[in-house]
Amino acid sequence: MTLPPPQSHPPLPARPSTRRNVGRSERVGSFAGGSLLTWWALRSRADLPARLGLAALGAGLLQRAVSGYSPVNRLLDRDTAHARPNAMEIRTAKTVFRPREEIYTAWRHFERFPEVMHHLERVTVEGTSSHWVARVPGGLGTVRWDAEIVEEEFGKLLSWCSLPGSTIDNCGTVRFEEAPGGRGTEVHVSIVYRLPAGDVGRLAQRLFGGSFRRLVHEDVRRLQQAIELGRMASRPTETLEAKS
Amino acid sequence: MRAVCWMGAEDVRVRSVPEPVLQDPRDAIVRVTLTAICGSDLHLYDGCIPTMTRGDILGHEFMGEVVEVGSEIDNLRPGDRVVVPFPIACGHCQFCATERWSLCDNSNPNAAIAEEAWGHAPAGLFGYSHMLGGYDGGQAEYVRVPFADVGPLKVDGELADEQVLFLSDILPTGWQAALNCDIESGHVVAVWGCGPVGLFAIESALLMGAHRVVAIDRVPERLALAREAGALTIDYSERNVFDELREFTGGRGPDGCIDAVGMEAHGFGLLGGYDRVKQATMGQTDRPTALREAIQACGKGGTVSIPGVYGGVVDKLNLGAAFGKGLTLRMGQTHVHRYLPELLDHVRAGRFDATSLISHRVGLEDAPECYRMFRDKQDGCTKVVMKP
Repeated sequence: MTLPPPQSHPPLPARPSTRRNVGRSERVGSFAGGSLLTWWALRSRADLPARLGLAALGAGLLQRAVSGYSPVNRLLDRDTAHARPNAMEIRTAKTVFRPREEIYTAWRHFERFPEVMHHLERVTVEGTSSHWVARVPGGLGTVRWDAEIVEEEFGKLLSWCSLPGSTIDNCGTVRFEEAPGGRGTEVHVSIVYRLPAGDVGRLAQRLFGGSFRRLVHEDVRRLQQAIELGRMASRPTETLEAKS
Repeated sequence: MRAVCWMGAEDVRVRSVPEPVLQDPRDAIVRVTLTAICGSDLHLYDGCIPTMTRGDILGHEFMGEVVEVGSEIDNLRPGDRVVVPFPIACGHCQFCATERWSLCDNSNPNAAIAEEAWGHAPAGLFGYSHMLGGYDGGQAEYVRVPFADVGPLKVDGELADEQVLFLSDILPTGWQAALNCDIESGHVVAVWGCGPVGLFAIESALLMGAHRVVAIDRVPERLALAREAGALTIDYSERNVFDELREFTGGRGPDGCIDAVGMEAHGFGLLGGYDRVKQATMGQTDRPTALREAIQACGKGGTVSIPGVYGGVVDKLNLGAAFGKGLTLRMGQTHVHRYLPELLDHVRAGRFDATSLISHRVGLEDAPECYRMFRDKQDGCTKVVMKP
């Protein structure tokens, strides 16, 4: 199975052309850390050698932030300035006991997704473009993005990509295939999220990858139930919290 | 209302809880007239099943009177008398469509937890952990029955509650256990565990034409019930089960072996002690003594049928024996709905005696005492029914 690329970005030269090996987010971090250490060194009541040590470390970090070059990164053969964006692919599949066309039609009505996917607040659809508003877990506000259908084949395939300026940068494909033995339709979902470059993105993937995966998986299950039952199945009577 | 609540391992209490309300147009509310403690409830009692939380209402064997129905229920009306199957099934997914009701795709709202443990999630059950749906059980005055247009079986007033209650679980479970053995004339079937499911498996196997049924237990009153049901019996605390079965079958071994014991078998000797230590230290979740014995004893080309509940990982299971003898292993929760019409006919015709295995008739308030008594097999306890 081939997937659409996360999002095309300009090809990068194999070797960096500048003497820079510290990425933007790391430079910001280094600047903040360096300033803080220097400030401490000046204010601290510790003995002189300790303060000098702190000041040297702070100055080093500030130098790293301003120049965008780090000898340590060079020694480690590490380059965060020219890293490609990280992509996180999530795949899941469910067999839904209904004909392909029916499932396709249900899926194409994005505006109804919030009825079964509780993390979505609102989806508005206009032709092939759509506007999505999702709740951030823990009541920390909402994220929004616009998406455009890039490929559409009735009853078979649906592909979309988010548009520039989106908070959630993603592309996805859903394929609908007849399940063997009259068992309905196999729904194969693949979504690729583009994450920040370098370690920051990798950390984000490590921290949130699992919950995104579960979220997508549960969303597809909810759609299956909504389609098979003509609506959403019963909600859990209680969550896994003691009723005391 | 009053309900029997799980408050921790070996801690069951009758508490006052809010009455259930309709949550979905396909729900019904049933006033429970009779409910029972199932042998599998004892796994919950002992704390062997994960994802139970304090306050969960227990009970998956119950019947009663419909008091309220959702707007999409047109097969039931308030006043109807119903027996409710313990697995909850939506009636619309591929599993329900092929009558494999206990594997329903849509009745377990916590499917993700079960998938984590088992790869895929079976149907939700009443009062049997959050992993299996988190539904409130029927050991209560009232219970909410989801997908009430699919599950509940209407029964007329001719039959007493006690005669039909066991259609909710143990009778169909014993029936499916025997059915899974593909019994042919001349077959000998051995049944491990003469609790209620084992007893119904014995009667079912004989109805299906088994030549002989041999029942294995060590509790005298249970062995007596097995003999009444028509089985020959082996007291495993006195005799060597494998030798007896081999002798009895002319060296062939039984054609069908039914493990009606499950995950908390009482093992003896070195291996029995090993199992207890491993289970206590979480090295394994289940103690499969009966299953090991069944695989060892089963004749070549035979079937090992497992109605006893298993929850997770077992150790020292001789898969080589099963492979070498070309055994068929069949197991799983019962597709109760599938057997109900046929079994109701059998009950009407008196082919199953459901009431003689009931040893205790009590009220809900006696639940804590009865759970302990049933688990410890004291006071001749074979089956407890409770009238809320």
